[in-house]
Amino acid sequence: MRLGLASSGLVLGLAGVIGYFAVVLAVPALVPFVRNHAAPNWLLVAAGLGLSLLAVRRAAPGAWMPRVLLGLNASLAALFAAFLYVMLSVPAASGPAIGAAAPDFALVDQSGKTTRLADFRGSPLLLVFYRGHW
Amino acid sequence: MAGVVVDPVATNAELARTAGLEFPILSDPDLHMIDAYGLRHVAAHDGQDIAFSASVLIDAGGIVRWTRVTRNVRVRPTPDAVLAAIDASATGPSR
Repeated sequence: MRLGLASSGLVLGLAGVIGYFAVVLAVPALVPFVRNHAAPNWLLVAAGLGLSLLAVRRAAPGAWMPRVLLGLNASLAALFAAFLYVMLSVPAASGPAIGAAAPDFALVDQSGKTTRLADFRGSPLLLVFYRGHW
Repeated sequence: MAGVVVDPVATNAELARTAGLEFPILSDPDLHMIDAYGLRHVAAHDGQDIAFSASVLIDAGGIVRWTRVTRNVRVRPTPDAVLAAIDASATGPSR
């Protein structure tokens, strides 16, 4: 019974972590709140850790498996946090100044057409810079 | 709307085709535009310079009205945030 509780905790933790990558890789644009904050995933991870802790508290003296599963679950949560908040962080960059004239450009688009800032005059333009190398 | 990336035209054409993108994707392999907008991320991909992930809203008169430069590559402005910025751009600048 205690092992079932601990195992369930690890399963929840795994579901939270694996679920993040499954959702973000499959439909990132449809779930920006998951991509940006991973809130549902952290809820699953936290619930899993809670179950693992409960299993350890209720375990018979000398029972080691619930502690191992708690350790695995905590390590998984730590790796998830390190990936999201450390590995994917980047240095600060200011970008263009608000209120300044947008720098001009003349670049070729995917159809081979040269596109300039002036081509967009008269309507708002959203420029999305992205990392590429896909 | 336009995308800006260091990738070559052929890569962008393939991306536009497979993802069904209809807006222009501008190829900036020499980072001229990326530098002009202050968005060069040095040695960020296998030692190569690329762009920081960023969104820049320019109003109808060519003035920069709103920017979001991410500190984490997975975090981007939501569609609602972008639409709100477009609405607000008519009344004044914001960051």
